[in-house]
Amino acid sequence: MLTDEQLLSRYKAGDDEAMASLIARYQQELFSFLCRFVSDRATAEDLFQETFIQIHRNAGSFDPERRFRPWLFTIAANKARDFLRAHGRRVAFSLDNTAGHGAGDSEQGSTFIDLMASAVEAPPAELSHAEDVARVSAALATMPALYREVLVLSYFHDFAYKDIADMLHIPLGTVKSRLHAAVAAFAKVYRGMSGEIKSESERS
Amino acid sequence: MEEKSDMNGNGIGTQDDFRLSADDAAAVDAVLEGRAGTAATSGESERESRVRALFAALDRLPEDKTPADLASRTLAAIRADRMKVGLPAATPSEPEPAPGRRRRWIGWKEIAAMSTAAAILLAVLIPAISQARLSARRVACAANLAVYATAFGTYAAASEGNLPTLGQPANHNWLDDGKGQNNADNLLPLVRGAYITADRLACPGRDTAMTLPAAGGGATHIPDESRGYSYTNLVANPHQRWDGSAETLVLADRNPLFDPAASNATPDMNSCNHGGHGTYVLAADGSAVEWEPNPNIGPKGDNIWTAGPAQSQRVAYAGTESTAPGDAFLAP
Repeated sequence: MLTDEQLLSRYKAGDDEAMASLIARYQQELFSFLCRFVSDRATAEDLFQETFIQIHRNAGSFDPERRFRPWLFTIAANKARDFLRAHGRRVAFSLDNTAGHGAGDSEQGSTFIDLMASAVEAPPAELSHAEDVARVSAALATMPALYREVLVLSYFHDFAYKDIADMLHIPLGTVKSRLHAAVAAFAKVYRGMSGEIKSESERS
Repeated sequence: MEEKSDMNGNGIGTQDDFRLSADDAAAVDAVLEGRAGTAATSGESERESRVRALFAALDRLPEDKTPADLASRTLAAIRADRMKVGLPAATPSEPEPAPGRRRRWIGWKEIAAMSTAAAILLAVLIPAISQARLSARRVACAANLAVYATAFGTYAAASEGNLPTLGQPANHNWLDDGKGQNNADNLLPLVRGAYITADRLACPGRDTAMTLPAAGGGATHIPDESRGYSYTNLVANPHQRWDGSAETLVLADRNPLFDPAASNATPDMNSCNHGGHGTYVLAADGSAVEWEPNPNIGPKGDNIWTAGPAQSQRVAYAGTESTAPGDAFLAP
């Protein structure tokens, strides 16, 4: 089987089928990444097309020594980030719920989370699977895009920290700190939303 | 606290930053970077198990299924992009017709031009076609008279030079008055003797339907619509013979003065057989069938349609008139 880089070389040489193969090879993974990043299927479809159009336009300048997959995700992430920035995505719900029970805030304006102390657990049994999925989805969608980007690339797409640093042109330490912050944000929101809904169901 | 300025409202955290404890951060790194063992290992800390439990929540997100046509749409978009880049900008030219409205390929101007051309063509062609048809009929008529020439010669050779005749009618009348026979009925012996076929009695130049007389011995009369020729008047002048003379005019196209198709005909007209343009005449020399443009072609220029000298006025004949010797009179 040809490597991604070989397929791209073929496309540069005029083989249209090679581009079709690349799209087929990455359509599921890239579409999932975009959906999780922008939380909207229609937008993800548009960004998917824009990403491959960009691949097509820049194929001539691609360095064959580099790897195709990080390049593809770099372009896709840039497109998604530009979209979110242009559309000024904001979150409607408040962050009144805090996750920390014992650790507290270490600095002003910052939420410090200790997983051992906050005891994030599986959702209550009475919550349906669909409700649980909705919570996870909302927790992911409502965290800062910079966090979400790193978390999705790392957790869902198995990119190593160093790869992410290269793709996003940020230091390795920044990758780590964003990723840790992403986990903290997810833990807080996911647990907090669960608690909120649980208390609503208790009231009803 | 890093990149607070980068939050830009993209999600939560516009007021708060989120931090994990150092131990949690180490556990996250251990889980994500040491992913080879995704399952919990015996040496794994409880904190790492907590991290895995948190990530397990992420795993509950369903896979976003790719639309079936996304790949093909993407390829089409790439092709469109390539066309946009590869082709020069469209130059303004003839405007595209509005969608749903087809271009009118034939307008009134084209129709008018074609009609004019067709009219001119017809104006040129119709007379030519008509003329060609007349010419063809004239050729057929001439050929018919040539057959008569042979028939007369054969008949005369077998009957002492006589022309075919039914004999003098009892009333000595050469004009059919409803009781007797016409002069041209004297041609019937040629049919009886099989010198000619009955259809030769009619001129091909005439459009009239033809009723053939019986070919047998019983026929004594040629139906008027089938009478194509005028025969030298053997009632008025019974002494005429197939004498080999070019001045003895024996057979010609039908005499217009006795033709129902030309009720107002005058003696100076040509036969109606060929549109009045001329008359075929066969003389007793049998050498040629002449096309004559006027009827005054008898000996001394007398008129072949009338008894007596040339005359311009139509004469009402009784059928009993005789002719002077040498007076050509081709009677129906």
